[in-house]
Amino acid sequence: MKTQTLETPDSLGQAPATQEFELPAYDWNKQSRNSPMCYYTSNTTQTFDNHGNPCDANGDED
Amino acid sequence: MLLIFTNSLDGTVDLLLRETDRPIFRFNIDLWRDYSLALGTSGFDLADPHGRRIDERSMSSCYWRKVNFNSIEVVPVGGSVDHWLEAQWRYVFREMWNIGRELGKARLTEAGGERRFGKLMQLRRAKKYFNVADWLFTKQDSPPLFEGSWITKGFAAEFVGNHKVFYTREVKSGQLDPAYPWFLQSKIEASHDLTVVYVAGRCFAFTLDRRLFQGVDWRVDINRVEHPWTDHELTPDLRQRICDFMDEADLSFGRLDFLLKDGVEWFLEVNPNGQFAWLDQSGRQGMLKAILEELTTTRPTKPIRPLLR
Repeated sequence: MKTQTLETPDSLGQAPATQEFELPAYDWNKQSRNSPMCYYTSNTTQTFDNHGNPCDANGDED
Repeated sequence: MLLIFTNSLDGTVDLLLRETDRPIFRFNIDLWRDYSLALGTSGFDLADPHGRRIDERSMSSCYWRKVNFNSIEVVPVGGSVDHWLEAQWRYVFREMWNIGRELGKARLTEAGGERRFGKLMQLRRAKKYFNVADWLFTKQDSPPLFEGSWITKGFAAEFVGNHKVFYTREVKSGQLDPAYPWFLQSKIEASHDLTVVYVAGRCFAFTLDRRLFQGVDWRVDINRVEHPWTDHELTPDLRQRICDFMDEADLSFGRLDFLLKDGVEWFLEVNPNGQFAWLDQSGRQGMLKAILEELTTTRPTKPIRPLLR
C-alpha cells in the first residue's frame, strides 16, 4: 500500500531568488546611500535585505 | 522638522528625501553608534554627524517606517551584548515615537500597528465592507479536509528552513500534516491582483495581471521577472468602502491587497506600514506627493490620535 507524504511548512517552502549585494556608504549630507533608486525602491529589496534575508514584515518587531 | 524612524537601507525614505526640500531628520536604528542622543525630563535632543539637530520643540511631525536591523542574528545561549543593545535601541526608538504621538505629531503609521489590527482581525472586520473568502486557522488531530480549491499562507516573514520562504500556495484537502497549524483560505480564481495605497483618505490603486505569473503568489517571481503594475481607477463605491473600513480600523495609512474576479474585489489584507515606493515611481498618480503632504503639514487630515489623556 502506498503511503502518502503529508505536506509540511518546509516541504511547501520555496527558495527565493535573493542575492547579496554591497551596500554603498551612507552619505550623512544627503541622509541616503546614494544608490540607484530602482535598487532600493523595487519590491525586491523591500522584501529581502542585502543579505537576501526576509525583511519586509519586520518593521514592527520587538 | 520631520523626524523619520527607520534604517539606513530604507530606499523609500531615500525617495521621500529626494522629493522634498522640507527639513527632515532621518534616525537610522542600524547606525545608532553615529548619533548623539540625550533623552530626559526636559525632552530629547538628537544630533547626527552632519551637525543636524532635532528636539521635541523643533520636531513638527514624526513618521514610523522600518525600524529594524539589517541582520538576522543567531542569539547564543545566554544572550549577547549586541542582541541586548539592539533590543535596548528598539525600545528607545519606540518610546521616542510614543512621545511624538503624545504630542500629536505622529503621522500616517503606528509603531505596532500590525499588532493592534492583525490579519485575522482584519478579515473579521473586512467582511462588513468587502467580499472575503472563507478562511480558517486550524490545528487538529487529522489533516484538514475541505471542498474545492484552497490556499495556505503564513503570517511571518521568517524562513521555514534552508533559506526557503513560505509563499502563498494552493493545497489539497487531506494532504497537510496535522502536526502543524495551518492558515487556509478558499481560493479565488482571480484575473488580477489589486493593491490600494491609502493615504489619509486618498486612495492610489494599481493592478497586476495574474496571467503574467504562475501559481498564486506573485512574490515568487521577485528577482526573476519584473511585473508591471498598472494604474487602476477605483469605483466611487469601492473607494468609499475602503475609506469607511480604514476609518473604522482607525488607520491613517495602509496598503490594502485585494483580488479581482469578474470586476469584483475580494479583500486579502491591509498592511498598516506596507511598502509602496515601487508602485508610483514616475509620480503619475501623485502618491509620494500626497504622503509628503500628510507627513509635513501642521494640519494633518488624519493624525494619529494620542493614547494618553
